[in-house]
Amino acid sequence: MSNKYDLVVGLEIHAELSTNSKIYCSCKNEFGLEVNSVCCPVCTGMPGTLPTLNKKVVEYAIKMGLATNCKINQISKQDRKNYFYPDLPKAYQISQSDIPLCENGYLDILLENSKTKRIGITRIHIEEDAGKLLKTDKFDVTLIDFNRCGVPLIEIVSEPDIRSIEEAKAYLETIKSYLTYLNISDAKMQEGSIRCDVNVSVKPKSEKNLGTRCEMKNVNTFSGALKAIEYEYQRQIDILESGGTIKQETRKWDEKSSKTIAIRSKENAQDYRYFPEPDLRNISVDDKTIQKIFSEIPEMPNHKAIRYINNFKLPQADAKLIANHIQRATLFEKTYELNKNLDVKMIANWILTTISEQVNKTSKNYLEVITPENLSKIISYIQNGHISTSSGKKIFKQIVSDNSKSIDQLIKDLGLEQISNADELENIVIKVLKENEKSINDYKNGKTNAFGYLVGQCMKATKGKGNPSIIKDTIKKHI
Amino acid sequence: MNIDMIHLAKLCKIKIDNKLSEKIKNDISKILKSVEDLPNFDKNESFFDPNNIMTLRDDVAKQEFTRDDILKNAPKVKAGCAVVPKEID
Amino acid sequence: MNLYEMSATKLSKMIKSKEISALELTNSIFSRINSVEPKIQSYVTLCEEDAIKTAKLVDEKISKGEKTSPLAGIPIGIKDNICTKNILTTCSSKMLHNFIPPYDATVIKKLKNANAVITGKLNMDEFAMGSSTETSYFKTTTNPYNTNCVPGGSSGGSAASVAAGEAIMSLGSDTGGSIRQPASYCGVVGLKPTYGSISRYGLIAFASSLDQIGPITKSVDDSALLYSIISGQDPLDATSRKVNHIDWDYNFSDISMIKGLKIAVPEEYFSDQIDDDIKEAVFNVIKMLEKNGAKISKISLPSTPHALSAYYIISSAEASSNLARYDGVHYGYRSENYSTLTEMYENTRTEGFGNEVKARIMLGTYILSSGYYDTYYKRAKLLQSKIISEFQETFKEYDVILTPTVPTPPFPIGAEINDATKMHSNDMNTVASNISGIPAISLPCCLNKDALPIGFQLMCNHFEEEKLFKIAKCCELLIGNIKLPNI
Repeated sequence: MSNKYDLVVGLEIHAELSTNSKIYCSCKNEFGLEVNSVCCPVCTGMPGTLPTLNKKVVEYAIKMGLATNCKINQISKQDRKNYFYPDLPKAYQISQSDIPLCENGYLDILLENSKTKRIGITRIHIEEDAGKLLKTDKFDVTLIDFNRCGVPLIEIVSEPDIRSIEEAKAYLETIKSYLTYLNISDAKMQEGSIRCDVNVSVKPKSEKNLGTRCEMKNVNTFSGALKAIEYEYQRQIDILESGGTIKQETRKWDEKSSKTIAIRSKENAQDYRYFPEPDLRNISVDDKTIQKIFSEIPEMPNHKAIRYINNFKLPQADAKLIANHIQRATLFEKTYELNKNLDVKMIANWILTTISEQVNKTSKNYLEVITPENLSKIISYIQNGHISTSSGKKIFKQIVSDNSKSIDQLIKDLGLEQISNADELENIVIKVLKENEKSINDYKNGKTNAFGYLVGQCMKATKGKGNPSIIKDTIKKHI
Repeated sequence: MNIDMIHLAKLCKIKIDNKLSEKIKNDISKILKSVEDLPNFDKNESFFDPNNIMTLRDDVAKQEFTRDDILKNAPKVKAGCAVVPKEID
Repeated sequence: MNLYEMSATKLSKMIKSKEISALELTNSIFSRINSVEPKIQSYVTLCEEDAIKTAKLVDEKISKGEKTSPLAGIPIGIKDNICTKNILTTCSSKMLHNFIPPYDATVIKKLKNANAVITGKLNMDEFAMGSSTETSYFKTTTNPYNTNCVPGGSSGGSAASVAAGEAIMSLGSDTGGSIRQPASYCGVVGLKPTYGSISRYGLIAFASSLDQIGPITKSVDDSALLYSIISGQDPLDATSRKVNHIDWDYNFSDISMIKGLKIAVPEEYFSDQIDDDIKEAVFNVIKMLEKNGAKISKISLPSTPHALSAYYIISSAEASSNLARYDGVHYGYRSENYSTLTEMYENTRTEGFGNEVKARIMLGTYILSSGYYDTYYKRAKLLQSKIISEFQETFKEYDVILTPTVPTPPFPIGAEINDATKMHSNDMNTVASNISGIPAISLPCCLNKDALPIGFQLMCNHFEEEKLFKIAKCCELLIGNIKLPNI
C-alpha cells in the first residue's frame, strides 16, 4: 500500500434470499433447474400481470437489518428502475429507492491481532433479480433463461469505510457469515447467490474529502473483488501521480487479463427514471413483527469470534473459522457446554481438522457427523489419558459409519484403553531402557532420534496402548 | 422548449422521422407548458401516503405454468429459450 | 322487441324461466353481429364456438334444475386489452397482433365461473390511448347512431357493440374517461368504478394508478349486476381493495330518494368549452331532479382546470414504463429488420407502435428523465392529493356531483385525429375521477338535434357504488329510455 494515498472502498453486496417462492410471484425459488421451467406470466412480465410482495422477503431483509443494527423503516415503498436489457422482461426492475427497509446500521469486522473495526451500512433494500443470458459458441444468438427473474435479492450497501484489502476481505466474509447464520441466504458465490459491486476511490493522506470513485459491477468471486480493488487502487494512483484526474465511470473486472476495463462513463450513465411502483402499495411492519424477528437473531459470528478469542484464548484464525460457520460454532459451544473442563483448543482442533474432513467428504451437516455428546466424551477420554489421540480418531471413524455402539462399548470392543497407570508404565519403561542401553547413550551424545526410538520401543511393549506423554516423562525421569 | 428529441428517442428505443419528431415535440411542449400553471409546492412536500398499506403474500410456492406456456408467444426460440442477437450495437 | 335489444336483467329472468334458451339468445346475438358488424366494426375477434359451448352448458344446467348465476347465458363482449386465455388479445395494436395469453384476467375468471357467454374481443384505441377508437391498428369502429361519427374511445368497440345489440353487455376500461366518453357517445350506461374495486390482474396496463375495468350496459340495473359479479379484492392485485357487497334490488324504483338529495353542480365542468346543446340537456336533467325534490347547489372545484395536465403527466409517465416491456424479446411483434440487439429493440418498437402511443411514451419518458422528475411528475402527484381532498371536502356536504360527461357530441371520423389538443380536451370532465379514484357513471339523457346521444355524469365518494347506482336508477326512471339507434 502506498504511503501517500489512502484507499477508500465501498461495497454493495447482492444476496439471493432462500425463500420458497419468488419475490413478486409464487414460482419456486430454486437454483439449477432446467431453463425456463420455474416461470409464470408475472415474472416473465407478460402483459396485464401484476406483482404481489412475498412476506418472507420483507422478514428476511429486516432480520439482516436488525442483525446489523439498522433503523427499520416501518413504512417503506418500492420503486421502478427502468432500463432495457433482454434479461429484464418488464424493462424495469422493482427495487427500493428513497425509502429502503433498513438504513444507518453497522457491523464490526475482526482484523489481524484481534483488532476490530466498525464498517457502516448505509442501507439494505429488497429488489428482484433478473434472468440469465447464455452466450455460447454453439449458437450465433444469445439465449435467455428467465428462471432467475423475480428471485428475491437484498442489496447491502456499505459506507466507504473500508480502507484496506484486509478490511474488504473481512467485511465480505462477515457479511457472508451473517447471511448463513441468519439462514436467509445460502450465499454461494459459485451459484451466483451472492454478488458484489465494488466502489473504489483514492485520496491523498492529508486530504479529508474523498476522491472520484469508479464502480466495478457484478464481481462474481471474493478473490476477484479483492484483486479488482488492488488493481484500481494502483491504476488511480498512477493517474494522479502523472497529473491526471480520475474519470467517474463504471468499469468491470476482467478475470482473464486481471484488469479493470471501462464500460460506461458518467455522460453515458444510465438514466433509470426511478418513480414509485404504482402496482404495489406501501410495506408496513409493526413493532410486534420486528420484536419477533429480533428475538430469532442468534449471537452473530464476529461477536462469537471475539468471545472465543477473549474467553477461550483461541488463536484468531481458528476462532474466525469456527465462528463464521454456524454449524461449527454450534458443535463447538454445545460440546463445551456439556463439560467445561474440556480443552477448548482440542475441541477446536478436532472440529477444524478431523470433523471438517468428514463433512467435506460426505456433505453432511457437522451435527449429523458427530453429536456434541460423543465429541465431548472422546475429547475428555483423550484429555484424561483413557485413550490416545489416534484411538480417538479410530473411534470417530467407527461412529461415522455406524453409530449403533456407544463409545465405551467401542473402546472395549476395539481394545483401545490406553495404559495410563504410572506404575505399570514405569515398569515397562525401566524394562525397555535396560534393553536399550546403546540408545540411551546415543541420546546422551546428542542423537535426538534415539529418544523417539525409545518411546517407540515402549509403545511397542504396550502394544500401542501406552500413554505416550506419560511414557515420555517416565523415560526422561530415568535417563 | 428545448427538448433533445434524438436523445429522448434513444431512451425510449424508438426511431422517429423529422416530421413526427416536430409534431411530438410540439405536443409535448404544449402539455408541459400547461404544467407551469400548476400550483407550486414546497420543495420538501412529499406525495407519499403512509396510510396506503398492502397485505403481503405468504411464502408458498406454486408452479402453474410450463415452459411451453411461457415461450409459446416468443418470436424466436432455441434450446428452450427465447433468443436475441449476440451483438448489442 | 328483439332479444338483442333487451336488458341483461330481463334476459336472465327469461333464461331461468326457460322462456328462451341461452343458446337461442347467443345465436340471436351472433346473427345480429353478422348483420351489422360490416357497418359497426366493433369486434377484433369473435368467439362463436366457445360462446355456443357455454350457452349449451347453461341450458343443460337449467334443465337439470341447477342453480345458476344471474349472468349465466348472457352474451358479454370484452375490450381487447383484457387477457383471455388462449384467445387473441391485441390491445388493437400491431405490437400484440399475435399475442395469445396463457392466462385469464381475474374478471374473465369470474365471468366464466358465472357461465357468462363471452362473445368476443372488442376494438379499442391502441393501448387504450385515445378518445375515438381511430388509433386502432385494425379498424375504426363507427357510432351506431351515425356511422360517419366516432363511437368515442378508447372503449369504442365496447360501447358501440352494446348500443348496436352486438352484445348485451360489455367490459371496457377507463383511465381518463375511456368508458364514460364512449358510453355517452353511444347512448349507453358506462361506469368507472372506485379505483381498486375491480381487479386489474389481466388488464393490459396503460396507467397503473388510474386504470379500472368497468361495465358498459343498456341500463343501471345491468351495470349493478355486472359490477357485483366482477368486483372484489383480488390477492393477485395488490392495489385492489375490499368492496362492500351490494345486494342490488332490481325492483328498486323508489324515486322518493331524490327528495332532499344534495346535488353539487361544479361550475368548472360547465365551461365555455362545453357545447351549448349539451349544457342545455344537462340543465334539463338538473331541473327535473329539482322538481322531484333534490337540493341543487352550484359549487366550485378550483383544481379542475389543472386536472387535465396532471392526468397527462401521470398517465404518460406510467405508460412509458408500462409499455417498455414491448421489446420483441419474448412475446408480441418483432421486426424482421435487425442484426444487433439495439436495432431489434428500436425497429420493433418503431414498427409496432402507432404515433399516438409513441408520443405518449416519449412524453412520459421525458417527464421521468433525470432532472425533470420534480418539475413535472412530483408536481402532478402533489396536485393529485389536492384533487382528492377537494372531492372529499365536497362529499362531506353533498351526496353526489352532477356534470356533463363530455364537452362535445360525437364528432365525425377523421375530424380530430390530427389535432392533439382537441382530442385531449375530450377528457376534461372525466379525468378528475380517475385521478381521485372516485366512482363515476355516465347515463344517456337524450338525443341532440342531430340525433346523436348526449350523456351526463354522476360522481359519488370512494366505494359508494350502491348509492351511485340508486341515484342513477332514479334518474333513469325519470328520464326514460332514449331511442335505440337505427342501423
